[in-house]
Amino acid sequence: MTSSEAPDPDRTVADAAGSHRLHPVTLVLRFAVSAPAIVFLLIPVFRQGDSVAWFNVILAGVYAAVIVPWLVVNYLRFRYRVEPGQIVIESGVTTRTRRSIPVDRIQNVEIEQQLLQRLTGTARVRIYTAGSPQAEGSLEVVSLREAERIRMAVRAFQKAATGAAPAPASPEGFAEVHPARAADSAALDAPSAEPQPVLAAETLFSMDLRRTLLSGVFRFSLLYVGLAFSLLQYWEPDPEAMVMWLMRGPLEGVAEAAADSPWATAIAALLAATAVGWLSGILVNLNRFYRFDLTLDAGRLHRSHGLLSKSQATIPLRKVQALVVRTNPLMRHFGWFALEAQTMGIDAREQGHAAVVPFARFDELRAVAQRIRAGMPDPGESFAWPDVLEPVSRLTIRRAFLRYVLLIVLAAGAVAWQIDERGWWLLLLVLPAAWLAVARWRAMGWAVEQDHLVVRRGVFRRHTWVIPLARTQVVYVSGSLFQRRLGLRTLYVDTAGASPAYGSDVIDLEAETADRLAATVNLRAAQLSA
Amino acid sequence: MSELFSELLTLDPAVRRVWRIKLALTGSALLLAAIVYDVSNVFDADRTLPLGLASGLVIAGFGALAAWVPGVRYLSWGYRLTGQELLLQHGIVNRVRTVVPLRRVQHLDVTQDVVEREFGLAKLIVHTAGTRSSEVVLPGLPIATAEGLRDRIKGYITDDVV
Repeated sequence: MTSSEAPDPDRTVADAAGSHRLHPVTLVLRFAVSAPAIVFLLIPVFRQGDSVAWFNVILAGVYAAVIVPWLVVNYLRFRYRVEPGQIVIESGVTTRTRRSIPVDRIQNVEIEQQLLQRLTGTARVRIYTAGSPQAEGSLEVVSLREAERIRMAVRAFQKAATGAAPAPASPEGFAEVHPARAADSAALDAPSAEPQPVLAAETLFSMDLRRTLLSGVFRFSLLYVGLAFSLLQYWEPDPEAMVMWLMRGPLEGVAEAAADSPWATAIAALLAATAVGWLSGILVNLNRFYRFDLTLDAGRLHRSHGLLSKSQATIPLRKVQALVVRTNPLMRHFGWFALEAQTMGIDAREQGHAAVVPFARFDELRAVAQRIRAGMPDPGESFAWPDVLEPVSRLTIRRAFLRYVLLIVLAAGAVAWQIDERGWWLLLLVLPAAWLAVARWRAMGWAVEQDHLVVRRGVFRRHTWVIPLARTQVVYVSGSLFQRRLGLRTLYVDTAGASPAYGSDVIDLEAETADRLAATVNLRAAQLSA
Repeated sequence: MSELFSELLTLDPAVRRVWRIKLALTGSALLLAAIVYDVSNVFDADRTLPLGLASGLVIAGFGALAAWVPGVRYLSWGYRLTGQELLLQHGIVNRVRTVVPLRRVQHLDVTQDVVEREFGLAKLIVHTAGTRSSEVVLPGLPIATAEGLRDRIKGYITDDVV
């Protein structure tokens, strides 16, 4: 460590080399996690005290005698330190592992506080690099101040290394947004102290409670209903007893009505499930995006949000590969959109797509997108959102419709042949299929605007990608047998961190257009990176 | 784009034999399963498939594939290294043209499997930071050509961290 480091009251046992242990609360938390196993072993003893049960007591004793020292030794052996060029994490009892993470490879230092950690004033620190989709290093429990100190130290080293990067935020600048950081940043910025212009962090986007609740309204998900039902299984209620209770109890009327009209019951159950799914969606969304705040400071986006588990993330603008606008038919009808920044190795759980604006009007979103784009290192200040996108070939309607019809005929045939004659009624689905084929064509569009490729696609999952041509990795033009027969091609511009499942393919372009577009993209990308 | 993809180089013709052998290997694994089925059902009066049909189908199917596919696949392949990019074209059913800008290359591999080694061929594998293009494979090159391409491309690798 640098010699000018300020003394830190939260410092845990540190040796001469500046190594730190995790916060002592780690031990308490780990005991707490392993405690249920002991209780489980002891349950038979509490129930009946015969000799078989006493065997469990011995087992529990052995368990405690092994696990407790193991946890303590493990804790004592885990050390980490922040060196000028790297973070070193040493761990392991029988197998010693020493992992060094070079500071210039670190993409993101994530600080997360879950409920237990918030109660104890601690935090989990995860260190992400571009090389691996998982966190490269994880410090499970450190004090919040220590977490901030690590993040600031990494930042200070990175800034010192790049040199040209904008000023480290002054204490004043941070105090405006993150009062808690002020003290640490003052101590840490001291080493690199030359007079720097005061840059205040600029708030790009934040959501109040009303907006957060409203956004939850659109996050309907049956997932939580499913979860609730799977939890219900653990109750193992006795159906017979329940029926008896229903017949006798105050719900007798309801039970009789349900027996009389099964269809009404089914519909009511469906409505109830929908209501539960809707409500739980709102609550989950509230927990996740409570007090969402996105600020821009010295070329980095800082994002913080969360009610029960609070999370903070930093996205360096130079790591942003593309911007993605997402919406669905319902959200679009009411004029709501979400913006994501596509990155590599920033947050594994978001699979390379960090939500920067979870829920906003298009104008707000466009302003944030332009601000982000202007802050990126390569030219992009003049990016204007295209008003109209170029359509792809109309032949795509025919191709999609034929594909849907083929699927419908197969499905209807299978049902009619195997299950029920009435399966042929499924053929009526060709009507919505025709609508879908047209909607799919309308949704698809592309444009090259100020050295950006803009691609839009998807009816139900509508994504609009804004890809700076300078970030192009590889360009693909492909044509299947059927596409080639109709003179069509699919164009795909690959970028780092792009979703493997749902890509920005421009499907069914006319062959000449596709070739011309690919050549343009390739040429401009080369010029921009030169 | 079309002009870029003119005057492509072809792979080494021996790659057809490599592909043929690999198809035959896959075929013989399936043939083994078919023979096991046939043999174990020789005395079964009401077996689903007539005796020898499973094995016969596998032999006929893979025979046709091995005779036809490698030649067509060979014709579909082409590549060229320009000053700035590596161009690939391949695919029988789905024809794909790929432009790999050399400045985007992260690292390079030259690999040889057992069959390829027999014919002195190798694969050049180009890694980029892109999602679909994390591995772009150029097969069927004489080992010297593959290593030559690798050494030429190596000079373009920039220390470009994504």
